[in-house]
Amino acid sequence: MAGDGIDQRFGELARTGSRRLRNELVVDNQGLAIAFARRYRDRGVPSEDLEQVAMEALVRAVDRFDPSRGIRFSTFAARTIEGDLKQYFRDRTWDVHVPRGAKELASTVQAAIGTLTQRLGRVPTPADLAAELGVDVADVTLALDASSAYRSERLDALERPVAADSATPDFERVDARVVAPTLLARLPDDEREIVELRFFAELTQSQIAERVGVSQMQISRVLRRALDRLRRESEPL
Amino acid sequence: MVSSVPPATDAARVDVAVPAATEYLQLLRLNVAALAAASFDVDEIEDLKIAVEELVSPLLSIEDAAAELHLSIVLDEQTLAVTGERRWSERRELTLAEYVPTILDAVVDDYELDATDDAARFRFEKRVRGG
Repeated sequence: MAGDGIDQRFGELARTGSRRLRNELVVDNQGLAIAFARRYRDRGVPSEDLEQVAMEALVRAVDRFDPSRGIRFSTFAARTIEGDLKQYFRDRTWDVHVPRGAKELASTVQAAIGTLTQRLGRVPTPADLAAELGVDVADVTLALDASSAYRSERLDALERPVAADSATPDFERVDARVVAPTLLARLPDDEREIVELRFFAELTQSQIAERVGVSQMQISRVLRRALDRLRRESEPL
Repeated sequence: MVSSVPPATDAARVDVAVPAATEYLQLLRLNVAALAAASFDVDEIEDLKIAVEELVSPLLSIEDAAAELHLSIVLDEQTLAVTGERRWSERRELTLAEYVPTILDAVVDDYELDATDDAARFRFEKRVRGG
């Protein structure tokens, strides 16, 4: 049963790294993942996709659980699974607070950023974009914010690792060297790559976009999603 | 004796007070982005929004329905400075998650977070690139 000596089993997992024990812990608790996935049925997403997200979250919870923190595994896993399911829906929808006009302007602004960067030889300001498009600066500001609220997709461009053909992140600061593995280990591959390039190699979003072959706004979305995830997982239980 | 008069400046300033709740985070982010719009490029504005989220979030993590968050945003020729304050009746623990300093080091030039007996406060500054 999931509750029988579970702290001892996690203690053993931490000591031995046993793959068999890890798998057993996942199987013993998969009912929790399925129960949470069912709560999100009938929202236009296939049940098997939801179960997949929930199971991946459960595996992550098993890998990250630390019984010495005095939290029950079921509490920790439930929070991780529910957080990932909510994130899954947020990743595929517009933020409900985004005005329609801002959504429509967002794609125009995105195109104009590319055009103006080429023409000006620098990344444009919102004032540059407003002048180019003949709209108010406030509208551009709203559109830029709306764009980062649309979290549609993982970056297909990052299905392949980018670090291999990009500059090695410059971990000059001692703090960064210490924090980096902890920070990055919590993130999915595509988010980890972008976080590494922005916050450790300290490339700008536009530089990363150019390197990866996507728009600056897509990079903004990935960073926002990654930081949301880190913030959520750092909150005290 | 004549009092000294502060030199005239071209600084622009916005002061905002909102309930200390996460629903208002977007409003705060937009105020900062709006004031920065003429001087900072879109990369730098994304950095400013990240700094707002990372430094405001700790101040919103303490539950108190009556609490307000005051944000002051000042833009001069080369620098945008943002200060935030949330007052409280008793001092609380206020810590940044371990990864946050790394993020803030990358997105702003200077920042601080401070808790005293009467309030929690933060401040950050970002200079225009090449400014």
